[in-house]
Amino acid sequence: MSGNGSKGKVLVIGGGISGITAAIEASEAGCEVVLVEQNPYLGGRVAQMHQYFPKLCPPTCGLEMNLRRLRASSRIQVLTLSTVERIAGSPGRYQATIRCNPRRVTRKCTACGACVAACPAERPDEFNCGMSSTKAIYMPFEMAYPLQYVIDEGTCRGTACGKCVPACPYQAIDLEMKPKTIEIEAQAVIWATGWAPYDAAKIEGLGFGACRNVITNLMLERLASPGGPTAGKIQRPSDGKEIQSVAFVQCAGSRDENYLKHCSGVCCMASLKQSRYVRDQYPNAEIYIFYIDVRSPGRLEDFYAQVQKDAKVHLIKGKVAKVHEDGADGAVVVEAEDALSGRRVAQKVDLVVLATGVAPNSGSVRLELGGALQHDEHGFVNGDQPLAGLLAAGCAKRPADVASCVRDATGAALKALQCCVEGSRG
Amino acid sequence: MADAQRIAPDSEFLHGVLAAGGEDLKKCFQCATCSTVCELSPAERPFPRKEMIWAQWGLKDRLVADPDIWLCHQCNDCSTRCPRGARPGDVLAAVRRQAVAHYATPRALGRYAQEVKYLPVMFLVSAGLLLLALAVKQPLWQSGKGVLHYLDHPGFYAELFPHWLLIGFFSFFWGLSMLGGLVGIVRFWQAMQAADKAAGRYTPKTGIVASLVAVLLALVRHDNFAKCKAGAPRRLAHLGAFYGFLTLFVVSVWAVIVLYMINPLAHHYFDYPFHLWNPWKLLANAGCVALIGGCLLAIRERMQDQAHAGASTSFDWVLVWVLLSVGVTGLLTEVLRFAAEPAGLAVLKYTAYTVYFAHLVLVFQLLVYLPYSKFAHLLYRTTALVYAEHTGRNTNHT
Repeated sequence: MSGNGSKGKVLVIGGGISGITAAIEASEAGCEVVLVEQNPYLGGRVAQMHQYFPKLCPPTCGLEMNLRRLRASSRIQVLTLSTVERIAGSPGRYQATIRCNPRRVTRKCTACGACVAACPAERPDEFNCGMSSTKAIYMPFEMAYPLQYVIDEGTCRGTACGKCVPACPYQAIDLEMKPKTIEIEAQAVIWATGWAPYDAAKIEGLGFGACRNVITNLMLERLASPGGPTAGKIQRPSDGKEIQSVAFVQCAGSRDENYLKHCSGVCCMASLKQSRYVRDQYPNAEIYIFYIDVRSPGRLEDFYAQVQKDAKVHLIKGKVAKVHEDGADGAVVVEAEDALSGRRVAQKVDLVVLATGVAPNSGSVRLELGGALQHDEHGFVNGDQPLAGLLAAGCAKRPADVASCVRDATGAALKALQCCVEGSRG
Repeated sequence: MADAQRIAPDSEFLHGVLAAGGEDLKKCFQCATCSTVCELSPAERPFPRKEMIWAQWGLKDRLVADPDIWLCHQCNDCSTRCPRGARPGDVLAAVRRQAVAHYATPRALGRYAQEVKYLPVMFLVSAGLLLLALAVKQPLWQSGKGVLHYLDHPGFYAELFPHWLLIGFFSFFWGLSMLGGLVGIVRFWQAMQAADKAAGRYTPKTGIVASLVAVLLALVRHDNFAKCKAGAPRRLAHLGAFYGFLTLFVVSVWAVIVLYMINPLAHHYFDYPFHLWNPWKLLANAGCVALIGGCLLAIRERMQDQAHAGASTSFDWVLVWVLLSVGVTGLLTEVLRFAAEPAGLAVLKYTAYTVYFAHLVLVFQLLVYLPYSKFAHLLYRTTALVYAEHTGRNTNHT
């Protein structure tokens, strides 16, 4: 054991639900943890979700409980706006170089928001999938941790403008804050780099980018979320009109060797869930779910069965292959073959939701270990790495729902602990 | 299950499909992307998703009685969009090959004409039959010696192979094979009708003659090819080969009419062989150029754009190369006739006769084996299109 009574140090790359979980579990078992997140906030993709399936509860609830545990632990060092640039060393003694980008807002920030009115520059809000914008100085979202404003480097005009500086009553803005690089040593490294939604614009024939009212499933999460661009009102992007009908296009880019060869695992349940909350908001809306086959493993089958009972939810076995706008009013027509009746279907709807899949996101860490990080054929990080102490958790490993990620991250934390114990014996 | 059906998979058929370019068939997971992206597929019972599962299950009876396998023009829009790389376009091509073999009458010819390993045998049979026909005129050993003698006569090639013999020979064998083809398409029609009747949906919309006219009109413009997204080269290639062949066929028939009907009655109204500037001769030469150009385009497309052209099997290549060779040897035969002056080099004369003989063998190969080779699509696709028009299957597109 190291001298300060700690059982060793674990580096966790990625501050989404998997990274947070691994960090907390390892720290609560006595390890020191450095949690590195490239965004200015923790929570990752989970923070963008409106509801979890199958319980239809808001993710902020579970996230909040975890963040409370995280705050309570003195052994976790959280580095937001940071990336791991390089890992060297050998099993038991990994050295990591971490670049910490400047937030330009110090801890004095009370999140009062006085700076926002003063800021003249705007940026598209990535958190809302670009469906809204923020000022160059912004709060990532209402529940963000750390609850501190941040300045977007690319948008901010810097000291040449400087209007926010006097606007802040707490002198919390430092426009000349510089990036810094730190070195740490760790016995284990957990890749919790998560996933990225597959770029829907790459998919041929599904109209994303060409039809105004074709959105992705993640965009629908933001539209439905009270903190989203429409304060939770699901509406057509083209004209803000209410929704009478929605078509869900399953396997948009997944299970397709032209795009993502793998099954993204969660999109079926996500669309079933989304159909529920669309129906809650619009009791008369007609829902059309076009699928190859619905994957609702285990007890999730009950949720599927519930959705099937809804007379306004139409499940059509057939993959949508053509999407086009119909006339000037922005309605969209999706085309498929209903394989069960053997008939071509052309369904006109107000909104099309592409159930885009889970693309691997293993980051770009430079490894100087005499061996690269091992990936599977789909680009996900292998759970078993040849070097002891290199671990992966959650969606960095495979597409998974939140509950599975949490279980997986707990397991990864245990593996990290084993490495720390081995390291202290050695 | 009151309405349970016992299916009878034909594994030999399935393996035939797998071996003939449809080797990716089993990757299909029935997502139906193919049926949706196809521009030719009708709204009711679209293809090729259902054909994919029938083929996987080895349901030969359904497939050979299915007009849809022939409605496909193999542009492979479905194959390029298929998420599994199951290549439905290639599978349908392999199924069509099996269908040609299924309806082949006599059946053995279907087998021999499809296997590339029998190709030399088929050529030898053609050549042998031609030599036998020559022997009708005079003993073979005299033909060779007499070549130089023939060249001094104005009729040239006709001296070796007189028109009456040539026309009689080809009419006999081609007539026989087309009789086989006729039996094939009648059986095909009956099978399609029986399948629709069994499903309770045989309700003719258009008369057969009117349907045939509609199909031929669409064929004139190559409408279906234009609908495929495969693009201009493929349509152009088929247009070239199609009109080239059609022109040469029509001119040949006209030549027979001139020789045996017009000239005897009208005191040699036409010079025969046609003069180089005779409109019919010009038309024939234009047809020959179109045929060669179309075949070359098809070969280039098959070699360069395999994603769209799909798997090219021996079944495909034999037709393209035989067509091209017919065109090339035909053109050479003509050029050599003008080149080999009566007083010219003996080697040119021998070459001329050799090329002419090769040309006749190739024409035999093309025409007589038509109902058994890929050329049979001319019979079966037309029949399927007429049937589709007849039953209203062509008109209900979304």
